[in-house]
Amino acid sequence: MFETFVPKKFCREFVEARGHSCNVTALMAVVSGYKPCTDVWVRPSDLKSFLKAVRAYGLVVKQNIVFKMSSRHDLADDIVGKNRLTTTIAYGSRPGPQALGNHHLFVARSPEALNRAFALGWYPVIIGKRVIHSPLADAFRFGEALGYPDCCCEFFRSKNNWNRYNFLYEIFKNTPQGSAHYLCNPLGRNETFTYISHMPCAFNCQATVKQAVSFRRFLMKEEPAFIEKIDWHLRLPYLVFYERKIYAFDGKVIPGGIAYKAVYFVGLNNDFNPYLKRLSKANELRIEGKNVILLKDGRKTDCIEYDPLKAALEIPFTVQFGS
Amino acid sequence: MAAQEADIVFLKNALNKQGECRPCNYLEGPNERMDGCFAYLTELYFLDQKEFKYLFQKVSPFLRKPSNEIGWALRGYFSYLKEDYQEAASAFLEAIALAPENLDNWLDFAFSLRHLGCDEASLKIIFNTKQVMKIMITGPIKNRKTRLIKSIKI
Repeated sequence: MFETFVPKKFCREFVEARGHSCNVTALMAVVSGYKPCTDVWVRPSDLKSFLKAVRAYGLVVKQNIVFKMSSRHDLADDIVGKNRLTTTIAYGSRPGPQALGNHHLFVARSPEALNRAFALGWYPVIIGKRVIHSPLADAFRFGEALGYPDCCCEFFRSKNNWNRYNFLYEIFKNTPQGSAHYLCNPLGRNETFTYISHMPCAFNCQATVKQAVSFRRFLMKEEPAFIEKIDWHLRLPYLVFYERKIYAFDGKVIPGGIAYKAVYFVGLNNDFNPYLKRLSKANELRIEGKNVILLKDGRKTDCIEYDPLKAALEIPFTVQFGS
Repeated sequence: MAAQEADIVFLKNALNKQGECRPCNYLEGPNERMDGCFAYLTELYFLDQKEFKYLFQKVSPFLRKPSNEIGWALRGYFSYLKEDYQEAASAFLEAIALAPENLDNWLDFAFSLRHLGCDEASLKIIFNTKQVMKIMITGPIKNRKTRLIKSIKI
């Protein structure tokens, strides 16, 4: 589950170059013209072969700065703005032989799409002793440059405020009960098994379904085995705390929770994975208010309590995507 | 409407205070940003076009020939929101000339340059802020802008 997938042929070079398949569907969507542009992080050692793959598929590329990923607790106290860092916690440096970290690259089919996304695509990053943000207007326009549906861009502008909202929970609330569609599942969007790389405005967003249907149809011809795996992952039951803290289950949704045989953390950064061990010891979970009650064979064994002091607003909910 | 009037009064007051500077976000200071006006205008622009247009209409006469840092910064904000990055960069540069120690102006200028394809100059400001600031803070006042433009190779 959530392992690296190596395509038989289509875009295999990208996976081989980076040694993992995260974001490979976004790259496939750019290559096939379903997306104007995407951005990826590439290790220095993989850069040469990645750029070779980019050229082989007739794409254009532009390098942003280099990101040295860090974790919240490793940051010095005197970094101005560190508490407002959300999904990406990193130090930035200029590209060059001295730079340590992963290269942030924009990849597109046309130079116009590339330049537009590049100009708008600045992630908050620590430079010197402070976090550098681009103007909010850029973040508000970035989704359009990456080809996200208008309704989802609009929803992002009104609800993607980490101080006020838990964005995934807002999407969940904006979805009629029981209508979550697997093609709108964004929970693994930074991983391998996904058709979309954006946050939809609802888990049944019709514009997102339409985009995903055409891309899926295309991919079906190129990599049918991949389709099978993606579909399976997208339909698993999930427990969501916020964007970075998501667990998938081999199990089924039951009223108020999930009954399961196994649990998996969705993501690569274990900084955001404090609950795997505790969840693994149980075989059922129930959401009670903002707490997650863990049960083993019907008996309560543990409780993941809501902590209002967490850096991100965490509101647990369970979801299983159907259709 | 009450909120709109309050916004306009705030902006007009800011613009009318001849020669008075807005709070400065010093490089060594503890604030990410001092001026929340850009973010506020951005939210209006994207989420409440009606109020944004109303506000812009009321304020625009004051932005034709700004006389202080706030005026130039506001002119930069409105231009940036309308994606006129050339105009935004010019306005932020004027704001820098009047308040060269204010980091807010420098970052807004740097991101305008990024939109204009001046990636190297933009990164120079972001990564070498202290050195670039020095060009505008020290030395003769005359030709500061020209020296800056030459130095960061815009």
